[in-house]
Amino acid sequence: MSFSEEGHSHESLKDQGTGSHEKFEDYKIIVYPFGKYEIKIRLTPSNEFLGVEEIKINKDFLSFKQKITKKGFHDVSKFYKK
Amino acid sequence: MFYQKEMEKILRFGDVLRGYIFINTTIKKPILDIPKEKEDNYKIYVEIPKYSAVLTPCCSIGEGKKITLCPLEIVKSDFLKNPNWIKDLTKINREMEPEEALPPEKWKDLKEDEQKKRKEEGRGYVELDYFIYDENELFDEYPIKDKNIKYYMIDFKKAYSIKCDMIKRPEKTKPEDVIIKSKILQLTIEARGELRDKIAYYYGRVPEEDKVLED
Repeated sequence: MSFSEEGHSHESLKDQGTGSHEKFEDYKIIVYPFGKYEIKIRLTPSNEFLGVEEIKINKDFLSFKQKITKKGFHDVSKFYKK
Repeated sequence: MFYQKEMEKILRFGDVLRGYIFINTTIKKPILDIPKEKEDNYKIYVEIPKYSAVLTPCCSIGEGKKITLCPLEIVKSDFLKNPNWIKDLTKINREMEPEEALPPEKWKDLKEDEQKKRKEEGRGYVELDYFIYDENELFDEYPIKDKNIKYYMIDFKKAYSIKCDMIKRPEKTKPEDVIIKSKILQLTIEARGELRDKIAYYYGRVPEEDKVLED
């Protein structure tokens, strides 16, 4: 009996994670930017909507002006006069 | 690394140059009318700094045959009082924790409220007007606080523009041009980024009173 006849062919093993025999889900997750939010959406391989995974704040929504005003600076000039 | 090992044969933002003049001007008061008599109202000093830094952004170098320069000067001796900075004065170019911004004994002297307020600010720049140029063998050494160092700094307030017909767009610049011979050091991309970030912050600060109007 050959190795592949025992059911150890590439086709039968390719979806099995080493050790865990994990079952891979048949979906993909994409990140969709929406205003100041980022929405993670679950889709089928053929791009059919399955559900919303996560909504989080898009940290890049701040304008340049907001970014620079957010950053502080330390006024220490009186300690370094000369 | 602060300086590029192999320099490009064109001028870049942050380059260190030799051989340029610096015009130091002072006036007693604004000249609103043409004076009828000779009046000693202003003074113009021409200096030749040992080194100058290019402050024109790379993409604008060569426009109008003008370039913005800033003289390199010796660092403030008080900077060496901070043991957090003494090993590497270029730390002053980057944001730091509030505790690092002061000598430890000065930090301890601050009232608890003041320490808390500064800690709430988080990381931030210090000495906004200044950018430190790291030590390099090409720089002259000078004594300061019983040490000999080769650090130099630029003061953004001293930036000025100079015109020279030899200043050209990079694509028209030739390696043998005298302008390229005047270039002695080029910053690495990282150091140039630090200079860009700090000078952008220096000019980009929004005054408190304008923030109120925006809200």
